[in-house]
Amino acid sequence: MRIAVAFKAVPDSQDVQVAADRTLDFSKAKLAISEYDKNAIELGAQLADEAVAVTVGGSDIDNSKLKKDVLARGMARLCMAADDALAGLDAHATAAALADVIAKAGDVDMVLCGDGSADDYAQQVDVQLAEKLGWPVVTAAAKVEVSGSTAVIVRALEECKETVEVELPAVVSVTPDAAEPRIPGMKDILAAGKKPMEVSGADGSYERVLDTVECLAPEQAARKQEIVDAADDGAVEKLAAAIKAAL
Amino acid sequence: MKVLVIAEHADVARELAGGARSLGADEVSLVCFGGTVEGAADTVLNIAVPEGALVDDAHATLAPFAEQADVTLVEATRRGKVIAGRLAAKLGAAAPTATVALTQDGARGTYFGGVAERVQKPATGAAVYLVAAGVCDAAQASGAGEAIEVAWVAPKRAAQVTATEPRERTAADPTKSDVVVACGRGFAAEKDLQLARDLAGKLGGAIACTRPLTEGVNWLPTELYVGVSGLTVTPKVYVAAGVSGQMQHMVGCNRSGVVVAVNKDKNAPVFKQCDYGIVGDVKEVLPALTAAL
Amino acid sequence: MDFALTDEQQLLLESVDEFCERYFTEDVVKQMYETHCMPDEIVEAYRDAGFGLMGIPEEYGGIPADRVTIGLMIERLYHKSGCMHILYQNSLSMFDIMEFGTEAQKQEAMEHYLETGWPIASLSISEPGAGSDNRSMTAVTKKQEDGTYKLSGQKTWVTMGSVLPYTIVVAKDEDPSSDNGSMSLWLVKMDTPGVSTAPLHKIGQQCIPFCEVYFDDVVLTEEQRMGNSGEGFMMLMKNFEVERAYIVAEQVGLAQAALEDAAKYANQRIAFGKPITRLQMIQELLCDMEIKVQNTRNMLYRTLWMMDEGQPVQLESAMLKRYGCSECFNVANDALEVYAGLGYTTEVRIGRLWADMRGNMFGGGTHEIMAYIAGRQVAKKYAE
Repeated sequence: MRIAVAFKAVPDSQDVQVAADRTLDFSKAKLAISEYDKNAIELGAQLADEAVAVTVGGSDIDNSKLKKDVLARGMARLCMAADDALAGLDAHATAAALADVIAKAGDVDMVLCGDGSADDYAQQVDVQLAEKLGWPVVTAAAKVEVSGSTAVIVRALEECKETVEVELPAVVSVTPDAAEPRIPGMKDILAAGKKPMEVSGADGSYERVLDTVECLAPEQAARKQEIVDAADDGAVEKLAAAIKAAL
Repeated sequence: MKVLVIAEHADVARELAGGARSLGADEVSLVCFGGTVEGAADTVLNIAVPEGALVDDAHATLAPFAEQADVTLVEATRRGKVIAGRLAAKLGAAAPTATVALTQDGARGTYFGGVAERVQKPATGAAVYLVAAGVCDAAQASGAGEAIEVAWVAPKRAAQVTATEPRERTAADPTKSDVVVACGRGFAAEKDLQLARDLAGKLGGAIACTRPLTEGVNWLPTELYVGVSGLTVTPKVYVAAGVSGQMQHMVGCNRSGVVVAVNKDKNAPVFKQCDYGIVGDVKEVLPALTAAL
Repeated sequence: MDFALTDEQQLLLESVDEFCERYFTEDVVKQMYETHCMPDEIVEAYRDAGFGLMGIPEEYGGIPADRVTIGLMIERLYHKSGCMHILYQNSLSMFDIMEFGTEAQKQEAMEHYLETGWPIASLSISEPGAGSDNRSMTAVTKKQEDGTYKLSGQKTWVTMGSVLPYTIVVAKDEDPSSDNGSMSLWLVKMDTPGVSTAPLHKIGQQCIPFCEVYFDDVVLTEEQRMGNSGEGFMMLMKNFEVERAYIVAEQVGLAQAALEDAAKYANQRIAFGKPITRLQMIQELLCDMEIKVQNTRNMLYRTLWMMDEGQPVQLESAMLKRYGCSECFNVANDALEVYAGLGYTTEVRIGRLWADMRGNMFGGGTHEIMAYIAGRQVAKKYAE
């Protein structure tokens, strides 16, 4: 079974600077694999005979360290479209661009996605991709088992656990419970650099359908910040009184 | 303006219908997959989900309605996200998520785990929005609620539900409680969580937790996790017990009325984001607080 | 000169970060110091990630790695875990076996490691009357008429001696007198009749137990010998140099942790109406701590690089051990100074780091013996 695992390269949020005017500065942030995509990568590595990592993004994602990082996590090869025309795409355009990359990866039986990207966390690319490919999609997969051409998936929904059977090929997006990411060892890391990496530019132009009106750091809610030590006289009683007053 | 509202919960359906009116809707159609909603919309679409079908697959049934609507509002649940994504894709759109506010300017949602708030709106004609519970005002909802029976349309290659197991709600729902006691890594042992339960019990509230307590150690079910990829809660009082105050967590509770922090590390970031802070071990402070109430 | 790390080195360090974050939680570290051991789960994860296999020959399942890369891995492992755990020291006895052991010994050692994650043997070198002064060693083997040997003597400060199944013993051949410099290495099973241990209690590094080991007429066979007869100490000496560097890698990692703790605390601690980082005496402390850490790091990686290049490092490794272990301990001491009274409590970890790091000024050779080794080399270097 061949599985394409879609992942997103995102700036490390630890390095995102907030300027005085509340705008975000990503210039010092290094690119990393979006955290929850690591669960999809791990599950793909466990389930597939050949797991292919796929991604699209700006030309900066053609980064040797990032590519080795993905390949050190059990992926057999990598296909990416890296082009500044593909930077910051919305879910609709991302799905279209990903579909083109997946087409180049060869016939795949499943596309795995993570729970949501560290930046947008919209949980929409998986669904849009399924629509683009004309495939079923099963989201919130906490457990995935494949037998033959059928996948049996346990979905962790808000109010229930739902077991779903889906004929492959399908798009499946996983929750972090689906598989704990491996910690790549030196052997994996050294092997990663020798694996096939197929990097191309944008295959077409992908229409952007969302406008960002504003993107600013939130204004801090003014909190009283009255801090006391538990050992202070009457500290707990005063806190109890404050809680009662708020109810 | 015609607005289509799609929800899984009756209370949220009412909120979204109210939100539709706030956006200026003169015609609201509503479909709710969990319970009846009366007097909230002009028309109510009754869709029976067949045995074995995924609620997610209602997109095929709803597509013609979405095509006719100017705006489609979908409750941001797991299933709602699939419905919204499918409808948006069919309309050549993408659905932005409103977790903070929904106005004519667009959907205001958290970005980068709360590092920023972002407002997005459709660049093209079709508008599909995902809207979280608590964002819109149910009071604005109105309408005669004329029922329209709609036959289920199965999508091609539909997946099948073979079993459903309700999640045991062992605790009260933090999104519906006036008091939430959230537990973080400051709890050294699972048995100490009882101290939080005792405090929540005394106040008639619910307990919740940070991500490491559901994922790392499995002490509490994932549905109690507050934060960017979990719940957003807005109780009158939020007690962050043994919670360090990482942004990924605080973004889920920072619109609470009063935030109380209990942490033994006086330098914990949570103390910069609370109204009342008490420096001490949760093992000592929580029982004392429960007793003092 | 290129100080940049390769992609592979950076990724390795990220893996170490992930490993430390996942396994060395505050509670686990606390438990390790209370129970004097490490959970098997961590040891197994360390093995699975292959960190402990780095530097072991590939034909035995090891992973090729240069010393600079291993040093980087060790530094980060101690920096991010913030405790003086056993993990890297585990590798040292493995290196000795892989370098000097017989084929059978190597196979058994690797099998044991891959199965349990623990090394097969501790190292029994020091004696109550012979530490740096190794000639005064009195543990001795005497050949018997039947071709076996009898080992008698006492060893001390044997890290993990009572826990691991074997110990590597250095003992004099036939004659225990200080005139005799002929020594051999032996791989001795701890459950052999005549071997016994007694625990010793440390003031720091309590998560790594050490003990005394007694040998009373322990019967050894020729197969238990490691390497050539008579060359025991020379073999150990050969690995002392790299071991010294790796101890400094541990020490500089811990110093970095102490420095970060102190700087973070100083930024938050308000005194006289302002954060104490605005006070010049605190600024001086922080500045000197950073200098000491950076200096040690520079010496460390240069020494490791020289080893990788095949250059002799007798002088450099001794200077590094002397300077690095003491100056990094001074960083911990200064960090304690920044914390003041709070640092002297168990509320924060700085006191523990301080006690842990003091121990590294003895382990792998004392501060003084390093001056003895290096001083002679310096004199020789500039001799006309």
